[in-house]
Amino acid sequence: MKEYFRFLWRCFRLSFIGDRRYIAWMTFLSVVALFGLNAYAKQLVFGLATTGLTDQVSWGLYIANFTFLVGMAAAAVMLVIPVYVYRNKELHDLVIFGELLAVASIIMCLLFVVVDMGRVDRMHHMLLRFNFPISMLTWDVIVLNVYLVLNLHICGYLIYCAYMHRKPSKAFYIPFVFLAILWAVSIHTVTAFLYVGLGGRPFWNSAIIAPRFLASAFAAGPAFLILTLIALDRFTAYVVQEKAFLTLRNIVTVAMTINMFLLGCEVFTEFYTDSAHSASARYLFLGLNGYHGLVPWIWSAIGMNTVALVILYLPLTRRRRFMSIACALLIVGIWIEKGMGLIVPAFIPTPLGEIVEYSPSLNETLVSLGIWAFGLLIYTIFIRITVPVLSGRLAVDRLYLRDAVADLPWSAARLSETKGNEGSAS
Amino acid sequence: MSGTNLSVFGVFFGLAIWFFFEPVKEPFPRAPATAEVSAEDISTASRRVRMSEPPGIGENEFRLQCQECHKLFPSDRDVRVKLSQHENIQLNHGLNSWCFNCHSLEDRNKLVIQGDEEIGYDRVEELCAKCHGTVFRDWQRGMHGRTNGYWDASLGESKRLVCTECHDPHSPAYPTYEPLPGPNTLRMGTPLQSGHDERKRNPLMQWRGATNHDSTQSQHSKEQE
Amino acid sequence: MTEDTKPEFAEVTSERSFNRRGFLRNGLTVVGAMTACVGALSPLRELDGDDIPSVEKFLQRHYKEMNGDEMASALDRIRREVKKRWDIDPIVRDVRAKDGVEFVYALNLSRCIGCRKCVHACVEENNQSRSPELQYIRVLEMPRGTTDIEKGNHHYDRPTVPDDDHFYMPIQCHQCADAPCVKVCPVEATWTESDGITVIDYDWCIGCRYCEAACPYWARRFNYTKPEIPAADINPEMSYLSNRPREKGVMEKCTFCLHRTREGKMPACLEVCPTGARKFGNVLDPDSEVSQILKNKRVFVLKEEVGTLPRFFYYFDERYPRSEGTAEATGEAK
Repeated sequence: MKEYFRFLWRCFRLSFIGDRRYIAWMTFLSVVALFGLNAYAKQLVFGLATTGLTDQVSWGLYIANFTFLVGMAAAAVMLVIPVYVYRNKELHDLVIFGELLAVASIIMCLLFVVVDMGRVDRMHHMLLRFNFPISMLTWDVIVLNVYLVLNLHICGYLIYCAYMHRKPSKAFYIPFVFLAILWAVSIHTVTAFLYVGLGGRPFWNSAIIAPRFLASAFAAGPAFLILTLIALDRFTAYVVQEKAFLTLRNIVTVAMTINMFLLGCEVFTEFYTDSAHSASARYLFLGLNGYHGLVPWIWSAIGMNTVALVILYLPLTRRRRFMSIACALLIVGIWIEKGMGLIVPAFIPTPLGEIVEYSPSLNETLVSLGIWAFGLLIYTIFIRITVPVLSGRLAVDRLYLRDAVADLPWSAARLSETKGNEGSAS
Repeated sequence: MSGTNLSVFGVFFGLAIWFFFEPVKEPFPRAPATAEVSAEDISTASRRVRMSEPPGIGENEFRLQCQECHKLFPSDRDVRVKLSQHENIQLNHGLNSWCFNCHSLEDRNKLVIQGDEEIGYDRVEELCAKCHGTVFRDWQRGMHGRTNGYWDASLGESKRLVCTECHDPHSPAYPTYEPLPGPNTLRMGTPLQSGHDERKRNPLMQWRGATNHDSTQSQHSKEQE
Repeated sequence: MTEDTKPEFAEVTSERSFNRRGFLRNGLTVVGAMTACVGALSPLRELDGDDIPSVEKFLQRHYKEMNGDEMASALDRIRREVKKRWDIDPIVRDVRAKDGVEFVYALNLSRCIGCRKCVHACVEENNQSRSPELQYIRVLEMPRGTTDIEKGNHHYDRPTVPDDDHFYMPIQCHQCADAPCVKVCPVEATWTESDGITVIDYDWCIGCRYCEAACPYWARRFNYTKPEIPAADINPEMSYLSNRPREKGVMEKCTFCLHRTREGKMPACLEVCPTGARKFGNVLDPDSEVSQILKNKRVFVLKEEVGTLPRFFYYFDERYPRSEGTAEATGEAK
């Protein structure tokens, strides 16, 4: 037990240590997070009127980010499935980064839900009267928190075992890994059902939303992991095998193709029938009665997704630069499509046909950026700890102060395997 | 080394100072408060007073009732609209344009139903029922007209207004009102419009008289701007 | 950290020296970050004293769980709060539903002239926020030939109403029998009472606005900031579940004026309706006006397809448009 607390203390200490780029990055994230905290303090004082939300459009940027991040969290399984179900070797060591991403994403999700609440001081009412199983929101609370605990357990256990030079006992994590796979699908499905279950919002009331959510999540999540791994490969001692990138790229490509197909299905259904219920879709894609605040967004999202998909299909993506461009485009594209493109238009027009457009206020944007910065901050810290532990430079009997731009890969075997991508990695 | 640390500390400390001295004020525009609505605008009074007696002229002991003049000046049953005395009465009751369809020729303090059966002003709904049978039946069941007070008779009095408390018998069409202010619930920007012109696509609406409709539409859209 | 880019791996075996060096190195950073955190939270000093829940309020139980004493003290607390804020002595009660009563509203679209008196009477009666404006009733000006409310105009501003080419459709909470807002609430802060009124415990609502997203009739309103009501406009006859003043960050909605209607009175919107377009009563009483309307009129509910079983019915009763000539203008010349 004492050893465990020392481990935590060392992790805490380690998160302050790094080279200048690391310190600059962490300071930047902290500053943005602090601005977010400040904006949230103002929101607490003046209420949600500090956001761009109205009675007409009562969910906006916060819930959009929440939805997107649930997808990111769920996407961790796209690394876990190949490794534990198909015994894929390349990804084996990378699974932990996927799960850490899940942890960070879920924390961001929970924060986004909290800032969206009008009365944070009454959170404990959830414990006293929990409308389960009727309210989908209660399902979401359960699945998100359980998923957080599952992933914390898996990551924490594996990392601590590595730290202690212990061989992880399968009984302690394999069942949880498989449970987490199921759970990842459930968190995103439940989140989709949050919207799908509302009969008064025809834009959401469509069975295809849940599959769309999963497809876009399984594209955006691994894409974010690719970016993370590229950064890891470049800035830390950790060497990522080229094969791992290719596997991830294939996952992203397939998921994105399915996502685009499902989007096409949705668009056809909405527009070919031309029923009164397609007003929201018309507002989103074409504009309605002279209001078209979201039209440029959705078309740029579709544009980005298409370009990303084309790049992904080309052999070009063997080059890191193109791979990162494709992934970045895809993440932004899906963020718009799923966040602003799926949450906001359902409120426009209102159920009574009133058209009120929504754009996030400055305060709201600061809070959102702050949460993102905080999420990236903890993700960076996770990686900061995980990399030296996995590479054996931080262990119960060994402690290195500096783990900056490292020159020593942790195994000679890896060095020989990854010579091919040294050029692009530097 | 300490240089980096110092600058990080400086960044945080500067930020703290900035946060602390930044004035805290409502960071959003507040739409003007709901337009004041006077108590009169939302009074629950009926539009017209209930008349259980025929209207009179004068006050107190000098008050004269209809019949007191009319017994001196007998009327022609055929009189229709042009009146020499009651010029202020605009009879605008559709096909019902004969005074003595409703008023008794013999006793002007009475109304007349069923041929020559005379009734008092307090039973005016029976007179209206002569023509407006369906509405009368609706009214009897409370499906037409105002009912105020208590829905639960055991707890209080329920007051059902009679025809002439809302409708002017000489000009029964319900009058137009100036509407009270519309919603301004938006905190940001100006209220937006819905209610677009769907006539082009909706055949039901093309049946409407085109000229009349267009003029109101264009006028309406001007008001919206 | 270090000026030289050459990595330096100083293996430290003593935890203590690690700590001491680390402390010197990073103490400043931690102190700076802490200071910045405090600074970032400094706007909280503007927090209204009323916004910070007292122990009593924090521990207050759900409406359905409160016993008589607890309710009495909650009502007393509300009384004190109103007194403190507006210097008014209100009558705050907890008006309960009666057995054998189920409320139903019926609205005669042939008679509504779109004067919006109901909207404003409701605001007065229910102590709704004047700034920012918050109203439970929306009156839609509908073009003839459609009942698709998406074609309605919310902001009509004519010199006089009604307009010949439009009819008017007021929409408020439909008090659904299968209310989606009740289903989605994660903390059971909203529920349907035995007399059919869907109510909110304003002291229990956490402000997630899921119910607002779920409502197909756009009948729920959120207090995006602290509601402002001039003291002169406060209606001192208050009840726990309906028109007592709300705080920021909670939902509110039409309650059919339950503090009036549960005591046999008509709701405020009905009382001011100049034309008698609004009808209200107990549907379990076969002779009530609403029962007669449901029996004899061709009633319909809005958005029947969403399956929420509203207790708010609309009906028409004239065969000819009221604008055609003068004879039919009354709509009574059938």
